[in-house]
Amino acid sequence: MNRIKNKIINLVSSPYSIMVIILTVFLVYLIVIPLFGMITTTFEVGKNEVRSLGKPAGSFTLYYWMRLFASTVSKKMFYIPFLNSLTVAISASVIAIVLGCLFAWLMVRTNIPYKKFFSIALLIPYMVPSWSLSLSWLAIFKNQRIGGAKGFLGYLGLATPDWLAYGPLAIIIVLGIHYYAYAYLLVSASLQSINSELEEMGQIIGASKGKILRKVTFPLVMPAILSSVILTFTKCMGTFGVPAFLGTKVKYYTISTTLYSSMKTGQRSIGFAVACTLIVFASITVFINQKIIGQRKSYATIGGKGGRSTLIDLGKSRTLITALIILFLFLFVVFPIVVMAYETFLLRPGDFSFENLTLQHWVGRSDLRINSGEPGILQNPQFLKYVWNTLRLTFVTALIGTILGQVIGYIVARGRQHLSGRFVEQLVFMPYLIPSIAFGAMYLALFAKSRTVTLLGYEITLIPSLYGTFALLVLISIVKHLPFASRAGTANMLQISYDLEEAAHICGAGVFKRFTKILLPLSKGGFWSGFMLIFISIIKELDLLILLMTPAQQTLPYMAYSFSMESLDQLSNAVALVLFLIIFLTYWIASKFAKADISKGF
Amino acid sequence: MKNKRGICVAIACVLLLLSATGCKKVQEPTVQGKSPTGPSGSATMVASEVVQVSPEEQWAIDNGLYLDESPEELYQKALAEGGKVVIYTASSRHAKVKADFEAAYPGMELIAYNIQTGELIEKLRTEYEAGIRVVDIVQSKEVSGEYTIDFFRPGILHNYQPESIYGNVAEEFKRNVSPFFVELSTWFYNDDAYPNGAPINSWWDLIKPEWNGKVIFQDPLSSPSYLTLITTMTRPDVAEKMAENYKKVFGKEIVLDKDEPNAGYAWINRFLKTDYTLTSVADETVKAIGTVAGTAQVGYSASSKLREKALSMPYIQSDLEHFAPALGVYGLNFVSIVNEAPHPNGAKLYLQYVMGGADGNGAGFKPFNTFGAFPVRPETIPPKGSIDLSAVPLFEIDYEYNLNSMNDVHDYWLIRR
Repeated sequence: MNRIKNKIINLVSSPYSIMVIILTVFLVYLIVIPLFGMITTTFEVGKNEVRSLGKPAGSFTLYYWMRLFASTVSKKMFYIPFLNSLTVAISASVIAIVLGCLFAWLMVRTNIPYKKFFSIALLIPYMVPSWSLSLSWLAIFKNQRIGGAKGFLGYLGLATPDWLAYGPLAIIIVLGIHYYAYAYLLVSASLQSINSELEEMGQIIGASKGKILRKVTFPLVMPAILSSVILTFTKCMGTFGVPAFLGTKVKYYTISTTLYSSMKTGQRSIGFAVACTLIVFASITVFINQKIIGQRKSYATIGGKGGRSTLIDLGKSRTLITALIILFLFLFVVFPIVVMAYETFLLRPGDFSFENLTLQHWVGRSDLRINSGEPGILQNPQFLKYVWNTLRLTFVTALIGTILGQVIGYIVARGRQHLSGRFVEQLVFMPYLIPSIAFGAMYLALFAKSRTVTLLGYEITLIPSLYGTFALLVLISIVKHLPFASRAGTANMLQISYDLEEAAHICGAGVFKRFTKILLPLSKGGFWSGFMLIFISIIKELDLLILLMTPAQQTLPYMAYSFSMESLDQLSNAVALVLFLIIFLTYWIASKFAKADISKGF
Repeated sequence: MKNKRGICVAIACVLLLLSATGCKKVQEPTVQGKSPTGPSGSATMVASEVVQVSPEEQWAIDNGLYLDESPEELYQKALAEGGKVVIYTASSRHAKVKADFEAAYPGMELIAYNIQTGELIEKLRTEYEAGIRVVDIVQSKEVSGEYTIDFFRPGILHNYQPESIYGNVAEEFKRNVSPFFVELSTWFYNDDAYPNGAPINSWWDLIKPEWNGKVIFQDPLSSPSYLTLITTMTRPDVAEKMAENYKKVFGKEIVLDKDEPNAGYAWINRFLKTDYTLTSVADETVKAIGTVAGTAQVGYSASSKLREKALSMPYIQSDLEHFAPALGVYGLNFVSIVNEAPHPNGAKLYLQYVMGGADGNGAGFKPFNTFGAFPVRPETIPPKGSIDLSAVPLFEIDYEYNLNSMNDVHDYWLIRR
């Protein structure tokens, strides 16, 4: 009896439990309720179907699910796009994982030269928004299929075939290049934490290099690889921009283009049903992943003892490998960005000659003959406002998100063996699985109206009307990026061995003191790394915010998007370039002065 | 409970009946006093008929939406209510009116939110249902009838048609919405590749083998305007015309396949068997044709893009007058004031301004008075060389048929795409 009482007292007084309870309430409120709302919507007759179904809005129906899975349009609306998405996502993930692992291994474990330069250069494709990567793909490979200006290769007189310019191959390559950053970051963090003594032990007992790689290194980084598979795969399943630019012209549709076109033409319920399917599918992948790697996901490496690592000598192939990386960087990083940048100086698109160069798209005044009279972006009176909005949103969100992420990371890291820790970990991952535009629509519906309940005579506001406020943009950005933030936090906290905390605990240090005197100082580098990671993904965000933004809150991605909607590609590219420069500069400053290294964020 | 449902059904029936007949009578008394409100001129009727006025209608009356106030009067009132106007629009051109408007009326601020049509409806509907009133004006395009039936009739959007501005506008245009200008879609071709004039002049030309791989069309599944167009083609009376035209083009009667209910469906079916290119962005089509000399493709896009011929795309050309059986359906760009808008006077002031002011030729309408668009006010002088709208062959519009058949045509297209 007393034992149970003690247990309860322990539970209530332990700061861990209090944190878990607060966090659970917070997450249920911001994730589970909207998700539940989304699911119920798919079973209710929507406004648009009142006419055709002959039922009042809001009454129960299975129409949307039948339409998606068992109707004459199911094949075109769901099965074919779904198969296409699977093909694209699996292939892109394979490319991304192979590239990511390879680079991570080279950067961390070998004596490859110019590491500092490479480690930043390799992350550049991730800093450029994926839709602008696909625009530069078109700038290079575009052919006469859709008429108009030719791409760079076409300008040189090389006719590119359709299968290269558009369609699955193009989508797979662009996505693979954009998303190898996840695998690269996760695997290098994992490799860094491996004590090379383990490998050396193998060497001592006479194992070959290949065998060590297979039997020692590979199993140790397996969890990191599988996590990056999840991140990459789900992201590829859900992204819209790339398949929209590169797929639709050759009638290659994916589940995300279907989802977006139904959301955009007002068929919200069917869009939500598609989103639910995506979530279920992603959850299955996560579940399988967890079965494979079990509960043990990482290893404490910042302990009382020091670890050391010896680099593998690449020997004669060092120069060759270095040259190959430089070639890769040139082809897939420098070239697309240079073409994109070069395009912003072209008066007429597709004419890459020097006579055609102009500064019009940057500093030109409004001229009705160019860009439908839009001035160059630096002359645009709204431009500075867009920059300010973007920076404000991104910094505030990244800061709060990172702090929250560290707290969640603490819970997850310390609570791995408890059900509560695992529960929080799962909950936090959910927003990642929900496509951005659906997430935005959910929040729009949820926070548009304040909802109150009357309890014992008191009126309690359950959900405040946040629509139109800056706070809502911050809130949704934080929640959507919590998976990143908490991954960074978890990685950070897992690295800090519990021994240190225990030692302090024995000396009588309280939770707060342990947090401020041990955890924070040790995790400072990780904090800024996590910050950068969230920063980079939020600053590019568009789909998530577009429904929630009000005229006063527009951001740079919105500006680029509205230009590309009007086919003003050069202006759109110029904005994307500015965005990239902001990211790059922030990253450079953070790594220079705050010692941030986003590869440590995971 | 049962009784309540009965009332609901009754209301629904009345609404349906009203919309089915395109009825113009406004203040139909219904059980809960919730009646479809809207079209112009209702103020006078309200005054004479003693019926319950819906809250939406009352708001419109209270805020002078049926009065014809002078700009000076509105300016003073607008300043008093904060000097702001917020507009949701699918067009980037209001941002261009901003400077002139703010210079003409110092102290006023125009905030334009440029958002795509589909998202605009979603945003407007969610905000409105949630009781959020931040926007004053909605400027969009009515094609299918969705705005008329779902927004204007229930009084979510109000018409503002002061006599001084709308007095001479044709009844056909101002019946349902307050028209801004008329827009069409048309077939564009590259002047340089086809110097002898339009290479096609019938919808049936597009399914001929020589056009295989050369046709650019915007995907109707990503654009309500184009979905409306292909839906209209399937309407029995239009399909008949399509069949007649088939005979003219191919010299024999059309033989319908089993899955082709009529000649309209037949066109969709046969077009989708060719090697066409679909775009999802409107401007992409005209850009594909117009930026480079000698492009062989033809593409269907908004006629207002013809303005670019004199500007950034010298090669674009289109023949609006000779296309059989008709070029397409017209889209009615409209302006409207949102019910319970926070700045009704600012909204009225801006609408008068953007409609071109007293003589219809003011600076406000300038950015919209372009080649390929058609002003609705007869007093507005169109750009030189403009064609009269009456010279363009167009399909008749039937909002009821559109909204009832759109889903079927959507699926018909989707299955074959």
